[in-house]
Amino acid sequence: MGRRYRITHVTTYSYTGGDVTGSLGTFHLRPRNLPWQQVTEHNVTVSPQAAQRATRVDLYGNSCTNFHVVEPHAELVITAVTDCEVSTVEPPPDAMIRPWEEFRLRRGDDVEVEARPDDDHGWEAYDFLLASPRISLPAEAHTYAATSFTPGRPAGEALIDLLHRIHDEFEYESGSTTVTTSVEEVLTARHGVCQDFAQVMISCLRTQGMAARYVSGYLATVPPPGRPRLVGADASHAWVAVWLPGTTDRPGFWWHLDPTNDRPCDESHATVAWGRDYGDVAPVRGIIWTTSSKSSMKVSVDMAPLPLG
Amino acid sequence: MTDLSYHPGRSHDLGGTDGAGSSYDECLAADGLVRPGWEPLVDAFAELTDRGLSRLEGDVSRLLEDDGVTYTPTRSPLLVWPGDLDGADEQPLTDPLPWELDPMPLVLDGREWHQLELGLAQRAELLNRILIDLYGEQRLLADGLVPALAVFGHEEYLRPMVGVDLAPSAHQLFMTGTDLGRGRDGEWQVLSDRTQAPSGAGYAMQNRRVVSRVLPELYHQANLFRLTPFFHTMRMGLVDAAPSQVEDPRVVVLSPGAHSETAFDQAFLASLLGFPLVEGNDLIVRDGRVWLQSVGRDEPVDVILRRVDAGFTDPLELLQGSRLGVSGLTDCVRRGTVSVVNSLGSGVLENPALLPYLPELCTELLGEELRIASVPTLWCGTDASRRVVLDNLDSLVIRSINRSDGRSIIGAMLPPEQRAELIDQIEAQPYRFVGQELLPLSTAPSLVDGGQVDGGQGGSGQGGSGRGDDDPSVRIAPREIVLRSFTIRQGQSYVPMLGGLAQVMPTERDEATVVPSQRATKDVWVVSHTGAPDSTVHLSEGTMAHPGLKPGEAMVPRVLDDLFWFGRYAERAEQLLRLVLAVRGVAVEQDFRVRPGGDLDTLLRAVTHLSASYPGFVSGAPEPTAELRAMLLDSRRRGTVARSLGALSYAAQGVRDQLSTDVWMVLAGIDRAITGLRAARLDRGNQLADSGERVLASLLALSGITAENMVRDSGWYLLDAGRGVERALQMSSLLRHTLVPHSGPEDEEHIIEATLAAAESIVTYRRRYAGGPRHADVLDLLVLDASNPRSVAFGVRRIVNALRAVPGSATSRALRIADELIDRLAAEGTADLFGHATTADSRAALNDWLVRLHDQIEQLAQAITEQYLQPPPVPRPISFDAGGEH
Repeated sequence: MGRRYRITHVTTYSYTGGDVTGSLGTFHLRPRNLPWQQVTEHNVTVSPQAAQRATRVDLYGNSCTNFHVVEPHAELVITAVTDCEVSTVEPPPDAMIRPWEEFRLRRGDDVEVEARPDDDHGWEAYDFLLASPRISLPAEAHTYAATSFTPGRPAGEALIDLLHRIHDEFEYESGSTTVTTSVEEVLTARHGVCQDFAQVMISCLRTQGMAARYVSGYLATVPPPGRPRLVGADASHAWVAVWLPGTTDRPGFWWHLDPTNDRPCDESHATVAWGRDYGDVAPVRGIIWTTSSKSSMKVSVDMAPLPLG
Repeated sequence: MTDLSYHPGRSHDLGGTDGAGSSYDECLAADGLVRPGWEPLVDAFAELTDRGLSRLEGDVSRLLEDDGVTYTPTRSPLLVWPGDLDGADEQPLTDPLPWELDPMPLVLDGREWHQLELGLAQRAELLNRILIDLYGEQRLLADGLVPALAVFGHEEYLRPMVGVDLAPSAHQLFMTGTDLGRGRDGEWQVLSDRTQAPSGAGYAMQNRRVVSRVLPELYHQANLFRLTPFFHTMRMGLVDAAPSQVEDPRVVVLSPGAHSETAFDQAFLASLLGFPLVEGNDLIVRDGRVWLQSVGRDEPVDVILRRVDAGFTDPLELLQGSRLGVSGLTDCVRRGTVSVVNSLGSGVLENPALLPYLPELCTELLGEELRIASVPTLWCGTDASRRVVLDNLDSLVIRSINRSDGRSIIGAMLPPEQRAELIDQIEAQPYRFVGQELLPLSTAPSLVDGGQVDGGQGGSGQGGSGRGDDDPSVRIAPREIVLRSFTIRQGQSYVPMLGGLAQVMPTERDEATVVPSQRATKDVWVVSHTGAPDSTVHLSEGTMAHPGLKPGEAMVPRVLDDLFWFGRYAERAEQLLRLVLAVRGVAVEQDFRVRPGGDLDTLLRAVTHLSASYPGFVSGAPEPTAELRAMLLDSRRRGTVARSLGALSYAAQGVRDQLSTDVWMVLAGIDRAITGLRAARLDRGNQLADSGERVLASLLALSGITAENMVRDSGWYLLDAGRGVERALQMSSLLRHTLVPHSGPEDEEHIIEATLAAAESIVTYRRRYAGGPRHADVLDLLVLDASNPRSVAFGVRRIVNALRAVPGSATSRALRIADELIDRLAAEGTADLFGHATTADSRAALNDWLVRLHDQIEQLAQAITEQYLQPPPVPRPISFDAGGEH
């Protein structure tokens, strides 16, 4: 039993002081099909229309489209409209009681141990264990995380504790950071937006030896009855998925956690793409040729509920 | 030790280091016998006197200088292993340094080489299979044959390139470089693999050319395998690498720039192969494919031989902000519209963490034993290896798996606090480090500095063996060497170069001595024991005919701009030089006495005006000889001859592949003349004249080369237009500063004579105009007379003719301006304009007229720049004012 949405994500680039004569870009805007999420309709328009456009599936299974607009323009609008249905998944019960240390990825010698017959893709999680271009693993992150990850503590408890602490000890402040703000800066300043919350938490988890990835997506604007309206609505959103490696009894599991809203993700979260950090999944990025002197970008996201189909 | 028993009485130490248990000697076997292939060299060098050795070394330097062979170090080289030749991103640390070549080659016996060759080909194929898997199925990672962390932690694992939808051939390894060292047991071991964009093949060929010229007899008698076939294979391979549907593929060599680390190697290779050398901004993506932005029209590009590190090749999908790449290149590769070799991501194979896994991978992937061992390497990513590395820090070299992390560290040399820091780093991120054994390298007889203490690894206590009584400046001593070899894919396998690039290692392995520098290199002679190895010996090395193929022409704005300025600087240097020589003549006659307002005063001021090197003689009174000398020599001051020549050389480096090699010989000659003059500090002007005339002769030779040896393509026409522009500008400026100022009649006569001399028109003038110098006649000859090659009118016509020959000029604004200028000059009558140029009014009018003329020529130059030389706009981020996501 999930919820259905129509998500409209509009990205507008405006230029003054000269047209853009070429715009070459790539976007991650198609929500993924997942066991807990089905995309029924999806359409992206690029205006002016792109002369070239090619969609592929990237290394992490995200849908990714390259486009090339050659018509001179002062405004580029990329509109993605998606209908999808999302439900909630519960983490495996053993994760709630077993010590967190058992969920760390082993280094080196033990690589083989991790690749079990029932867990063919365990090795892929190693890609989310190391520092990545936008997520460093500073000693401060290790220290910060260590307060939650005390020896022998059940994994579920430690993870939820870290989620609480980041939510409580970091202030959500729009515009306080940019897409290039580093983990160190956020750890010092203790404020940021959802992207910063996610990246700090990922850094913390990786320093503890747990694989964690950055997830981009949307958060429902209409709260379920009786629940408060959530921060991070009306924009693209970002959160964390932590890897709970498989055991002989169950496959590995990526547990999605939302540090900005202090709770595990549920049917309010529509997943678009995941990667090591923001850089792997930026909704739109590109290169332009222009003599323009000023550019501005506007993003609007609307996540409207649809009746269940 | 051993050397003396073979050549008693000689002071040269041809082999041996320190006796028993020492490193392998390439030249002398343990029993003291000269190894196969070395005998003729040993005999010939033994015959050489110290002076002969010095002369040999001098010949080598001169030939390298004549070919303009340089290397630009970009950072501290690795302490132990070489292999820092590659790399694109670093800022140069110094100006280009002369390439260093030790004339004594490294000789390898053909039989021994054959074994090595099999091993190199096998290794290339093994690496190729690994590469295809890592960017394709990733079975090696899933099965744990290659540890996932070793790959994921490597900076050259380019995730956008991973995808099973790419044809495996797109990742095929095209070329490899392998650094080899020979251990005590005589076995070669691989020190490191070069798969990113191996450099050095061009240098190897250059070394061969020089050595074949300085040691012609030895070279011809040596039964030597040639290098040229390797480049033929490379050329064919590049053509074959094109996407399958392409008929007549266009290949380019993508360079990080003319002033990058191995720019010479790149340009040399490009000319040798006959493909244009381009930079990232010369290329553009359109309609899903790559185009070369040439003047007139864009040309599709099918194959890119990549010399830019892969991460820097696409600011859209790889490293954002790179200025060395082509936005959208990755996607074109994905679409299969262009082939990039080596493929984007091939640098992942340079990861030393892979070395311990190669033997098993070789068995698994090729079903064979690995033929050449790698230097013993421990990857810290496994607990067992990490413990061994930490326990043996003092006897190991610690390397990061990523080259951008910097150089290797010899554990034993670290001070305690840095040692503790290193241990912490290894504990924190063990996957990032490997420990490698310090291989005792083999030694080969090498030319070394006589003054240098023969120290090194085990050479202490060898006093005397290498020294003659008078401490010659050059002598022969054993030096450790590392061999860089190359392979190229041909059909289904790899073919090694029959030779390579040997590097002579510095003797002192002391951190303090590691300064930005380079090492001497050696030509590598693979010698056949069965007579002349191939039938192509009559062809000189490095001569490649490309029948039916048009020469590589990259008429991109960047290249045209460099050629235009090449023309301008050559002309600018020549004009000022002529004036300085003419003025010096007057000064000598008058014993350097300067009267205010007199002829010499005016002429000296004209020198300052023409060079725009103010204050000079205009608002100061410098000592004339010193200032004139400075006008030639002082490269720090703007406008001087030295400055123009520096800029000329810089522009030439930018278009190295477009220029005849003779150009470098001429530029080297100019350098030598200038250096000679600089050395003569107490010159009263005679040497100034001598050297100046030598520089002038060189500049004339340069004109000759460009006129006689260069293909008439758009580049040549722009070069010629540049000459026309500068000549017209300089002439109008010269006339303004010599004819307008008022002096006594006799003074003016001297000034006019000097001006005519500086304009190389005095003979014509005397023949044509009787009865002494007159302003109107001078102006007629030097401005309006379109038959005088030195006149403004001639210069402008030269520009017009050049521009007309460049594609797409029919509607050119530059051409229109030039045509107008010609009409105007033709319509002017000298008599009307300056028939009475003796009054103050007419002088003022003449001044205005010349100023206007000068301005118009400047406008013309500007129009040429705008139309032909403007680089394409630089791409910017889609939202360049930054801003966040939320």
